[in-house]
Amino acid sequence: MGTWFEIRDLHVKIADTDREILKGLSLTINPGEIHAIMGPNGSGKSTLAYALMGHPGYEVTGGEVIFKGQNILEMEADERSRAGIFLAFQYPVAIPGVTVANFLRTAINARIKAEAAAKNGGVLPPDVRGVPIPVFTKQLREALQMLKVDQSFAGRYLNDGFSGGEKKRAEILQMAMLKPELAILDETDSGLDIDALRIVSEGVNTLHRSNPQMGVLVITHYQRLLNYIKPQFVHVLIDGRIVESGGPELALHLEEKGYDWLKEPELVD
Amino acid sequence: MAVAQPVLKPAPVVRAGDLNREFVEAYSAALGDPAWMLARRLEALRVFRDTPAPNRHDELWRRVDLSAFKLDLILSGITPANTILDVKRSRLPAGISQQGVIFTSLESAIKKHPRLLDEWLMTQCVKLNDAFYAALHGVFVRHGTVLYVPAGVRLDKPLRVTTRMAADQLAGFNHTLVVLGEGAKATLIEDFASPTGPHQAMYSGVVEIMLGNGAELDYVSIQDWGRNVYNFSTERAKVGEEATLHWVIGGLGSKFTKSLIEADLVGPRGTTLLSGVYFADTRQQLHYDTQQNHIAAACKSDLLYKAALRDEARTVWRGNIRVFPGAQKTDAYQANRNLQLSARSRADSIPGLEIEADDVRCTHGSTVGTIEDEPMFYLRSRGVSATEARRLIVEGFFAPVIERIPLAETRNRLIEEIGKKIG
Repeated sequence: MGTWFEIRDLHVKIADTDREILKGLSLTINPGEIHAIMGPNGSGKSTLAYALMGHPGYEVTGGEVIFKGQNILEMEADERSRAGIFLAFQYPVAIPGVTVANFLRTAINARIKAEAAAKNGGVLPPDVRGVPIPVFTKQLREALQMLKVDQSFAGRYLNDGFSGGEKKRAEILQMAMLKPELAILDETDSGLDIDALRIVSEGVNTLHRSNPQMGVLVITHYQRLLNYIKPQFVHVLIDGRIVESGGPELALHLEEKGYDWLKEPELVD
Repeated sequence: MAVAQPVLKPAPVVRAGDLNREFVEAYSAALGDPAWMLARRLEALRVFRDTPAPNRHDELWRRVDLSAFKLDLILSGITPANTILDVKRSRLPAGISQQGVIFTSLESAIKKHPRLLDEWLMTQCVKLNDAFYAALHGVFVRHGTVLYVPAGVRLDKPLRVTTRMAADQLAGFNHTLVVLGEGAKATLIEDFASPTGPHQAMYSGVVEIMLGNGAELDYVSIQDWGRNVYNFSTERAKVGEEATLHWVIGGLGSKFTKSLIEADLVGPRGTTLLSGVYFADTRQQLHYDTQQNHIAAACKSDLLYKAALRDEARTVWRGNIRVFPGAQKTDAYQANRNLQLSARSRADSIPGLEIEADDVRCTHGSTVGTIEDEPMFYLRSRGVSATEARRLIVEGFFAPVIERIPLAETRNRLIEEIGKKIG
């Protein structure tokens, strides 16, 4: 029996270049744990988020990422999502013409159909129906209420013309509706004022309470998000490697001292 | 709709110029025309024979490849038995016809309302000498719909027309004539379709819309012709003072389409919204020439035509805004957006402005783009397959135009047909 989620010696470069960003990153998360990865600009935080989700712009050159016994690096982004991994984007992408509700229903139905097909030897049985509309509508209404968003939000085009705060709420809304087992939050606090930060964090905490087995990986530059989403484990990412791991006190220490004390001293002739 | 290419059967060649009086008289007699209608056809024949067939030296036809189209062959083969369309209309709500509303077939209107038809049919809006295919239409027109709504009568429920051509028919000539009196209101939704037949066929349609002062019309026409059909249409609206026209076209089928779509803003403070959604696949060619003519002052026109293309399909949009001298305070906009789903497809987008007044606001935009990686990754990161993600993006691309269609059933059918085209 292996671990639930484990990153082993992960090396990632930007596709079509020689620029290696992650240089042997390892990390283990057990069900229900909240981990934070902190690091300065350029340390590889977003690369890690994208590489875990399977962004085609990042090429894995070494290592593996095991989730529930499978190496997810061999899976497409949509397969990783259906396996239970969710990434809340730092910069969510606008999808003009596709409403929040239409998109969420499509995403939920994609899960239902993939599951039904998997149980049927890879072939989608003809009688599979998507989520019943009343069930979906109720779930969506409750998720919108939790995030203190007006119901009309569901009819807007996804991320199209959204403010920074609305985009981040839309990310957590998707997380609430898709019910992942492992949630990766990439700089979720960026661009949020304190009220929005509180609502978004409370949303994540509520989801974690309703599913205490959900693992959470919070990726952030600043400590402030961690006042709201409290990790048990904090890791420091510098230059593509984890250089220090500890408990919540490590985040406070970083807030006070910055990252410089962890960087290797530069060699001078 | 099946996308199989029809097998084209060759036949002896007769020149278009061979169309003669005896031929038209026999056609007219078979249809049971009144004398004035035969006179109309013969006048159309005269104009047709004086009008050269369009060729690639004409600017409007320069980007058109009609080399495979056998017009002569079709013309020489036309009979009253192979130019039949099956046109069905929804019923008028009870009591409406007592208010003087006419909603009937062209054939019936020719017999029952000869004075109205004589006044309106290709005399004030689309004219015989507007286009080669308009003149040809004038010779052979036999099906169609007449909607007349007298002043002050407002129809809230949409009226619907479906026009079908059987696979064995050679040609279809359908005429849509809409006249709204002062302050009248109506919604008309038409769709045209045929199964793909074994030989080349032609459709030649005319749409004439005349809106009195303060009238309001929503007009939607969607074509899903079989892939053997060469589709030509000449369509024009005259928009009166403070009248509002909202005109949506949808293009899915046909082997080839060339539509001339023109809005004349003839009374001050009129408004015209022109919307288009079309999707070309295989080796389809869909061409739209749009013209926004600001003849009167202080009118507003807004055009948005959106196209998706895949395989080796080709689309051309040519749009022109013309502001006549004296049409001050004109507010005109045109945009054409193209989404290329394959590198072998080709979209031409040619906006144009001709402005002869000095106090106007005229702008245009045109773009040709592809599906980008970032939205694809974002959607896929939520568990949606690549195919579904592409479908969402294409549907989303068309959504702002489709939402302008005032009938859910038509919207849903269009979305479904687009979904099938994405595959």
